[in-house]
Amino acid sequence: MIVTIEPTPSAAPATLALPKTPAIPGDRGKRKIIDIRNVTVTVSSPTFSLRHFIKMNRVTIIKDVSFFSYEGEILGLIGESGAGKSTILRCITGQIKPNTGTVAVAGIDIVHHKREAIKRFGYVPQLELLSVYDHFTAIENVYYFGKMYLSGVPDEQIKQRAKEVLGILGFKEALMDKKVKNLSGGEKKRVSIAVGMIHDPEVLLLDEPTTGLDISLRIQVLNYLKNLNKKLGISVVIVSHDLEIAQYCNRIVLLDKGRVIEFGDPEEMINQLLPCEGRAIKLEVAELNDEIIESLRGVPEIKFVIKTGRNDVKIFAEEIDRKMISKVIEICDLISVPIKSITLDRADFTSYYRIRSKLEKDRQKQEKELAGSTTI
Amino acid sequence: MTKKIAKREFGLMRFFILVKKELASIWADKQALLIVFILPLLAVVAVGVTGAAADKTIDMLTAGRQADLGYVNLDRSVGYPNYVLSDEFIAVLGRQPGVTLTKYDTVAEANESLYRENIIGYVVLRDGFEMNVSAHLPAFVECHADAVYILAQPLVTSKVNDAIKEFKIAFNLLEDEINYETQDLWHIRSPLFVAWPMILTLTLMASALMLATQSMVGDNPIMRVALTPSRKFEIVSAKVAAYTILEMMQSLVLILFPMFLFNLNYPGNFFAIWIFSIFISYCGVAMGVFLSSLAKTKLQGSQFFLVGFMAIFILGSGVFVSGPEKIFPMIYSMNGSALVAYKDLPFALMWPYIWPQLAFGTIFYLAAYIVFRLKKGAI
Repeated sequence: MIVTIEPTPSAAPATLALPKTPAIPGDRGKRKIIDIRNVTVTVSSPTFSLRHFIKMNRVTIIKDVSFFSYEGEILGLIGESGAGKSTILRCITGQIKPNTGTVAVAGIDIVHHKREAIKRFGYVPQLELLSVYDHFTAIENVYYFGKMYLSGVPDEQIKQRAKEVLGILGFKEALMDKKVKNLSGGEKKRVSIAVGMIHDPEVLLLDEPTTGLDISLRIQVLNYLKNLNKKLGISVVIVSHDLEIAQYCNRIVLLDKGRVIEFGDPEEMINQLLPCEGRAIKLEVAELNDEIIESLRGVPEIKFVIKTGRNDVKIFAEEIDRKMISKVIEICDLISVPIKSITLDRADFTSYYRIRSKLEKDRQKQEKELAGSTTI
Repeated sequence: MTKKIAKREFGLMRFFILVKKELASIWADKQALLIVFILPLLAVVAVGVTGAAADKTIDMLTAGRQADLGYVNLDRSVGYPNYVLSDEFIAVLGRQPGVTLTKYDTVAEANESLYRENIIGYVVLRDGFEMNVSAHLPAFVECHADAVYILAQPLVTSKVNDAIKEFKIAFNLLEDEINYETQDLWHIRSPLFVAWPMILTLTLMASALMLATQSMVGDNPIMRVALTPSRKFEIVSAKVAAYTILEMMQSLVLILFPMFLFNLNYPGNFFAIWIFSIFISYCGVAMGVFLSSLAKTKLQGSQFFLVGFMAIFILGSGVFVSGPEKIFPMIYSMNGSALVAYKDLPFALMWPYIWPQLAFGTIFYLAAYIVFRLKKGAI
């Protein structure tokens, strides 16, 4: 049965308003759709010198990486540039063979059964330029890629399926027949996603799906992905350095220098790190300065203060209650700073990531100091 | 939820889809189409109009060349004391530099040998030769040359002319006792007759190379296609097939336009000529796809085209250097297309011209696949 799904309006909200991740559809069990265990990838790169002439250096790109994702979930691989995100994705797609460890997609070992595993996932590369045919229309692109997977299926059936997928991604009939080179960046991205979806894969793998898009298009693309996940029950893996994606994910893998530094439910990660289950006070003042921040940090109950805008901060304390709000107002009065607004808020993943990074830096600094004093 | 589509697979069908996609891509590229149809037209018209000038350059190319000739001596007359003049003339002809002579008893035998390219021409001395020469009356040396081999006619006449001069000095013949007349066999009266095999070969190879050197490097989503169930061998094969089909369209222009514009009415079978031209295209396309698989950017692809074409032209034509042309397909393509078109060569005799092209193309086709297979493309 084909269900028409209303596309998300193109004028998406200006801010992220989707803190809750979608529920796992009930008809799908707790099957691991992605299962990475102890994966290490090393590459050899030659260096030239007069002494050794050619020396092969072995560089470890990712080390002992393990994580998983259940069927129907959205998994986010987040990390800075060079963290090893794309390498992991290429391991999942079988473009790179890991030196050690196992990679399974929908229960199939990609290293030993690549041709079987390829049919189970849809891959959406980072750059549309390299992933769709510019001189074909949106529907032609989806059709041709569909035929690669479903060569024995009649053309009409594939075209119907292509229209459905493009429809879910917000394409009207007229837009489907437009050449890709005449589409906007966001539309091209959605064509690329539709190409990845045409063969009804079990998991959709996306490499930096929001890179190069402005804020409204980023949200639009993420909303469409959420829509696909919700309506078709497809599992999604998103690789990104964009922390916004975390709000759409059931699970997050935080990567740093080729290692997994955190893995889990983003809500749980926030709750574990931040006091009061991530609840916060959002304070907006007329003119924010260092004195206010330092004064707030001086209060023993306040654990973290982070700047979230030009004139606003988020305050995380052991208890978020009337007493704490009164204390914040009191401090502002004391240093004669007019308050514009004070509201209750929740930590988002960006706040979590910033606090976590700060704590990590402090820890490393302490370790260094300790090592220095031990040496003396 | 969307109904699941039954997943079935046919490698051959996937290959056809890839070919269809390639053709659709080429069709969308109007500049490529311009190359395919305008380039041969320009070549045909330009050479057709200036065809006569091309003939004159042939004389320069005949100097010092080997001439395998035949002779048929039908002279039974007598008249010159102590000598058999027809035998003496044959002996003088045989002493000319570069000439090797083969004796034939009949004109039909010599003709058959000429058709099979054992010789490039033959001379016939008719009965009465000695008698006429002895009586200082005109005697003719009939020269028959293979017009399909563009250097044959000037080569044969120059050797016979030199032999006549030497013979006349040796026997003190001071008048115009001996003359020669030449018959060009399989000749078609058209300004494109001489140049057409070269136009066909060079245009097909150049445009095939030009287009195919962009086929892999210009196909941006190729690595994404490789991440579908399509095999890399299917992808490379589809490229070779699609561009060869395109070149087949071009060869139609190259075969039909000379017929209508310059009266080049080939005695050969039209389909045989067309099929033979596919092998020429295949060579160019396979080499182009290989070079394209090596290239990392489109600019590199264009540069590789120049390198590939110059290699084929300089080493393969046999004009600039002698020897390497035996391993390049150009000579086989040129000679083969001339023979198929002008002599209506049967398939059995066509094969020696087909297999070197087939082998050359297949080596590059497989090399393109190996390079593409080893390519670590990141998408």
